[in-house]
Amino acid sequence: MSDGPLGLASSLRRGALEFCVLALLSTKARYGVELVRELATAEALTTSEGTLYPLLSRLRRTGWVSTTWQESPAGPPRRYYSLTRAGREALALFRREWVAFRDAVDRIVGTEGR
Amino acid sequence: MSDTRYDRIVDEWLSALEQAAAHLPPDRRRELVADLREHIAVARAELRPETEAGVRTILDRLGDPDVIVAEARDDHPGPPPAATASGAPGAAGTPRAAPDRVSPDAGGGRSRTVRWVVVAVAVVAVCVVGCLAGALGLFAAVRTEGSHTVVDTVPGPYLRDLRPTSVETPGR
Repeated sequence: MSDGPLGLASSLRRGALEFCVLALLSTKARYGVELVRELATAEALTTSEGTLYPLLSRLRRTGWVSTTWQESPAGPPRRYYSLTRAGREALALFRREWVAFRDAVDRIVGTEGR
Repeated sequence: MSDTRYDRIVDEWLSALEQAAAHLPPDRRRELVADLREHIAVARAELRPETEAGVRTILDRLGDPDVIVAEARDDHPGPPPAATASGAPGAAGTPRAAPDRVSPDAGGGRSRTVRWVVVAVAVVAVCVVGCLAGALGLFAAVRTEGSHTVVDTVPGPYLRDLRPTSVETPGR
């Protein structure tokens, strides 16, 4: 983790990342590899693809995502992740909170319009 | 499908993961290893053709097993990775309940705000109702001054009914 002594990137990431997962799943169900690769394209969000699995496990346990196994045209069956109703509500809540939070921090830290 | 020649590379990586995860609770460790085993199997099936470089790239992208396990451990408040690596005995026990505590917290911040709003509204409502009730009480008090005389006359008959008996008793 190239995170500096404050662990800043990691604490920022931890709060927001699970909602990024929920947002990706809000449009369609995705299987693990697909989801993890999609997230890994945003470098600021993830350290490595593997670190996302503990997060997915947490989301399953929280009941925000559910999984179903589906046969794949080639290779082993894939586990598809989809949003539950609770997950959808959590995402809606986060979207509202995030805008207020982001605006407040931008105003005080002086990053408005950057 | 998967070329067994590369299984060894994968198995080595997975056993490194298992070792790194030794301090996680057993069910969490099994889940983590199963999730990553599954990822590797699915990703390998997507390699066409499957090459050693391809398999190694899958593992590289997954990252360092220690970092992955640290992430699983950071899910919950507990000893920092360094302390756990040196064998802190509490590490395996603490993590269980915590994830449930972590995620609902995201909504918890919100519900806490909602709770405060409800409390504030309730306080204001109590004040308003209290003032109104006070004012009404004053009015009522002024009004009932007249009716008090009426109220006083009401028990009259009962008292009168009682009076003969109470008079009779000492008479005997």
